[in-house]
Amino acid sequence: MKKLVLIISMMMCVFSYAYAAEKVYDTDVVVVGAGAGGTVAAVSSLEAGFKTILLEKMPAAGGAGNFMEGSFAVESFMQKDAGVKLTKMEAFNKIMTYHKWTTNAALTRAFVDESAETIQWVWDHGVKFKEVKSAFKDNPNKTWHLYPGGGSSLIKAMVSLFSAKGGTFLLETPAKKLIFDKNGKITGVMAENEEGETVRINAKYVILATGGFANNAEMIKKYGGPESTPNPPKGRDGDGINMALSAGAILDKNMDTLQLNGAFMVAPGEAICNGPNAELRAMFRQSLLYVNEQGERFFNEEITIDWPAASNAISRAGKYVYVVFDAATLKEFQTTGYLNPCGNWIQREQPMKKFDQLFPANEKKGYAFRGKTLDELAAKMGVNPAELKLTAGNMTTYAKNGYDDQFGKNMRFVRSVDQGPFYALKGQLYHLTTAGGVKVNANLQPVNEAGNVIEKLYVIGNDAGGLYGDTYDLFVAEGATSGFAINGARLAVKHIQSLEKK
Amino acid sequence: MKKIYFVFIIAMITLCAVFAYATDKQVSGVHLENGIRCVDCHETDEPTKRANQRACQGCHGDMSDKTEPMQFKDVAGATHEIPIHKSHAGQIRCTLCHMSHQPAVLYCNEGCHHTFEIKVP
Repeated sequence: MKKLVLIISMMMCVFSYAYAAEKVYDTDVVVVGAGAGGTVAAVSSLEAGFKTILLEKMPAAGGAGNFMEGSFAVESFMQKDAGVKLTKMEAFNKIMTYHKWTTNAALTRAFVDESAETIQWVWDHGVKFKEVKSAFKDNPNKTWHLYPGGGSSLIKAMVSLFSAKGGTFLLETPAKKLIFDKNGKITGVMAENEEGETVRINAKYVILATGGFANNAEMIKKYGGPESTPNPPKGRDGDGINMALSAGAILDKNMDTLQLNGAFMVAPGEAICNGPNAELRAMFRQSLLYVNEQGERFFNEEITIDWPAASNAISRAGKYVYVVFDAATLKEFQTTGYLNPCGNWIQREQPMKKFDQLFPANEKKGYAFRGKTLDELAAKMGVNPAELKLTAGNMTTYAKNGYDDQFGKNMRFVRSVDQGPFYALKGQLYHLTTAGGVKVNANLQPVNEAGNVIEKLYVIGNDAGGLYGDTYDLFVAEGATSGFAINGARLAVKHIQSLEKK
Repeated sequence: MKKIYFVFIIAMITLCAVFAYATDKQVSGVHLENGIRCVDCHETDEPTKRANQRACQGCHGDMSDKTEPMQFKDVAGATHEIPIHKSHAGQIRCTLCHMSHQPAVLYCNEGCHHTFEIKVP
């Protein structure tokens, strides 16, 4: 009886799992993740003559690549046409200085050096950049090459080219782990396809491009990152980094650095100023008065346009921050428009039109507050009324005196806060991506504790570390994150080519 | 002996879990009217896995061939004109939007940040 029950039990289990039929692919290169870096790597690999498989965990291609606005480069043909004088060597040194040389100089140099050729490569593949610009007023060192209609134009072009040229693109097929031969050499990846079947991909080379760990709050906490809310998309869970670690790779420094994007009003599912609440969310980029949960002002709001730096101040201030303004300032924004742009969605001097519709809706949700008096506003916000009144009074004095005695903010952004009704918007810190990752060399190969290269493996984009110190370098390298993804992709494939030629 | 019953129960649960997927779902709507059965999409009478893309395409054809643009608005009121089945997302699974056992959704809005006003059949 005992034996019979055991046999039946075993048979039932075997039967249950028999459906997990295994699929096997043989290829030269497998690219894990179909974002900006992954799709460029996949097309480059195919064009280099390698049989290539591209895996994507999510149901659609693009990942954070769909959210790029522009990519960094120096000495591109577009910059030459636009009269930009910045050289590769100057850009390299500016970036290293910004990060106090805590970052990987060889990697940064390789990235900057490749960047102009990559702009040409993207252009030649049918994606005609709209323009090269800077978000900072009067900055002559324009490095931000804007995609026509956003980053999705690159993804679309790469995905259709890849399929047209005979690549195998598998959506909803996350790579689960690296596979090794008995000598510990990487021989491919195990994945799971959309039907739940396990898929084995035997490959000579694996390129990990899964986009970092922006959506994995546990990992961010583990590595000491700040409390912050990820912008879309979903799916960046640290898969690539964890797979590299399984192969003995080590992490680079600054794992706690996020590409913080400043504070915005809470609006689930909305990114930056691209969504139904854009007009209210843009108020967080206007360099108006910010207060913390105690009702105190805490930084020179002029820098909100340099959002990585502003984020550091906001991160120190607490979980929630508030933008506070009065009836006169609201009227100004409704007539002469915004003082600063927000991405490419809200333009400078564009008048606010939907306040009367958006504000009450967010009052109900507890993200927006109004009071006839500052006392009433403070009570609704839950901040100390005496402190809020003092802060507002100070701002009014600065506006009248023509000088911000506290932080020296440019007077263009200093406004009185003395005419009721008074308004406040509740904001929290958001991040676009994580900035830390696997320690790699200038060929995007991960290294182990002993400093030796882990062969057959490449780690690119936000899965790779070594590029950032404690802050994203928007100030000196606009478009660096997406630029690093697509340049790293091409550098990795070039390195594979050099190995295969031998 | 107690141990053995424990193993048996675990095995039962495992087996049931595999088939639980099948039992709580029905063919409905236009598929029911056209006499579609579980096996037509799920490959087995007792479904064990998600319907395959090929099953949809068997009757509906390859929609990515339909490249004529579709006009629609978003929440902000802007007008868009794109072939919705040939988006920048690549060739995504039909059932990501056109779900058979629950109300249809627009993945562009669900999975991303778009606010397109499209009624998905």
